[in-house]
Amino acid sequence: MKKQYLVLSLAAMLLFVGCGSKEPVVDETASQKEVKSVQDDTANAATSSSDDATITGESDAASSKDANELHMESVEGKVESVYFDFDKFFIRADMQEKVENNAKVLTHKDSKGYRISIEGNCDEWGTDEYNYALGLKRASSAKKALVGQGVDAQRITLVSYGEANPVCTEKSQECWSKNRRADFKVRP
Amino acid sequence: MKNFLVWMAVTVRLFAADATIDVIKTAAELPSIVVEDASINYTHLISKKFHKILTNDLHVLSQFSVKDSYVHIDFPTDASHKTNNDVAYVLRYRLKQSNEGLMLCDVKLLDVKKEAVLFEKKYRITQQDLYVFLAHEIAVDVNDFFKLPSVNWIKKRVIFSRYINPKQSEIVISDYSLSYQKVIIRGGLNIFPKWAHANQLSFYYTVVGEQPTLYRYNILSGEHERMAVSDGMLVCSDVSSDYGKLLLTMAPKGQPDVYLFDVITKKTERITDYDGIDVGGQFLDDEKRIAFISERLGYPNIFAQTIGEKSVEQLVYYGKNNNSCSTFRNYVVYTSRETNNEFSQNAYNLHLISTQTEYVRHLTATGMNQFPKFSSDGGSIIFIKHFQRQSALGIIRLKENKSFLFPLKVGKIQSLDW
Repeated sequence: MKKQYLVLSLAAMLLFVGCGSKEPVVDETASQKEVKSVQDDTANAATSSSDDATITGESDAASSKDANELHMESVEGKVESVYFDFDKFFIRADMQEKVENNAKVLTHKDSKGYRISIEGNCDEWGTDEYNYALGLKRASSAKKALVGQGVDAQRITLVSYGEANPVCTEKSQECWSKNRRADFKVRP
Repeated sequence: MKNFLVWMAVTVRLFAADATIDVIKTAAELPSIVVEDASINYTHLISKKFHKILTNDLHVLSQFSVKDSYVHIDFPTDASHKTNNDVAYVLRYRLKQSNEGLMLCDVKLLDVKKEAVLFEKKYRITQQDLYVFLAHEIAVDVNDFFKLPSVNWIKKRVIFSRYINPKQSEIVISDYSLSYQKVIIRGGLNIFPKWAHANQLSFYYTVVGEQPTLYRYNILSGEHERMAVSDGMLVCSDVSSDYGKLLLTMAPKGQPDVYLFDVITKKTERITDYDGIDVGGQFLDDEKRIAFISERLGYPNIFAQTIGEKSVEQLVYYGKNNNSCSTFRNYVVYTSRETNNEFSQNAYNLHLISTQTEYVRHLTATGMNQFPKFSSDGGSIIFIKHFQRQSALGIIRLKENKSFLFPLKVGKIQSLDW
């Protein structure tokens, strides 16, 4: 019986290791019966993690914007998102004009000094990793198209947001088509 | 005749050992059991929730015919409630609060016909919100008392990421039924959590920023350790059985491929090499091979490759869009998109195959079924089901050929690990 008690307590410890006390709590009034204790460490973990997690979050931007930031916003406002077909990552013929326009804006002498982050996005259809890879391939296709139009590849970084960055959340074909896209962000 | 009997015996043994074969139970009648509430100074709300969770757990054990009805009764009597004289066993619990504010629970299992106590136990928990785990613990003890196949996996914790806003997600730890939930990582886009060890005291996850970064988070100390960085995307898809190697999907040049990562040296070795999408590596066949998703045939499908070799083997010949998988030894469970109609009622289904046989076992038939993961013993699969605007957590007991659905109210799940 003692052996079984120890094993069970150990199992409980592994699952609910206590933040205050790591010792199992024993009900001494019931020595003839098995007693188990479960404790939790997740409360402690959550508290500490909420602080630690701030290292991962986006920092709050300063409220005042300098002229350079305003100019970057202005450049970014001139580039357009490129949209993709369901489950595809090639640039559609009807998107070529947008790519050319984006390349013109991004190779203009006023914006040549900026880096470009291309963000690939997907609709909600697809599953976890594959969707992130699909978003990345869309960003990669957009990069190749820009480079083909004269944008320096060294200026461009890629990131995929999978289905994490929808601009539309209704459940309709039209809405999902808005989420299958590559966005272009201008960085200093 | 003798040969036939030998053949039958061998066939039954083989089939019984192969989870890809559908198990069809015939005459076996399961013993009946009911849960009775004898709580005294606890709120009715919690004691009734406790009853529901414990009853659900007994269903999931798949070894009893479980009566769902609720009654309140005094704890000391060894007779069942008058409405429960038709069942074989009564599992009675009494929740009560100690003077120190601890939640105490007395449990006894009764043989109704004999009016005899089969076993009696006492439990205590320090935090009331952990009563969900207490119910799971009791269910496992009942299971073990009857010497039934181990179901220790129901005491395991599930970790998942859920979207809360665009580019915002949080990581949550829960029990297997997602009844208990605690947010453990907030702020930013935190995705693909994966347990780092079977002790479930640390996990890997990716923070998506300008450069996706893989961290290992220690639950006890609250420490983050930066493991790897990659352009484009970075996901920890699987952890080796000795916890020393990871399968990562990385895209250092914008090209997603599967890499082997050494946890100690932090060195990476590229496994797949294809100018398209290769993702979701899972260790397979004694970890000498991997299963992964690739669209090298023009659509996503499941392939296998021996680590260190270049040749690739197609694992699945059914379905035209198989875009995620999970493995246990030589078994692969995968999601298959059945139709391109996004409004279809059976958009994604789950299927099970083995690298040792050519059978395909269809595990689901309706709805959008995603995120399949094997239990630690490989005998069960957890997954998320969306059907007719409702979401549920599903558990499939492979050997018992049973499945269970628990209604979910957790938001949109990004990824989960068990």
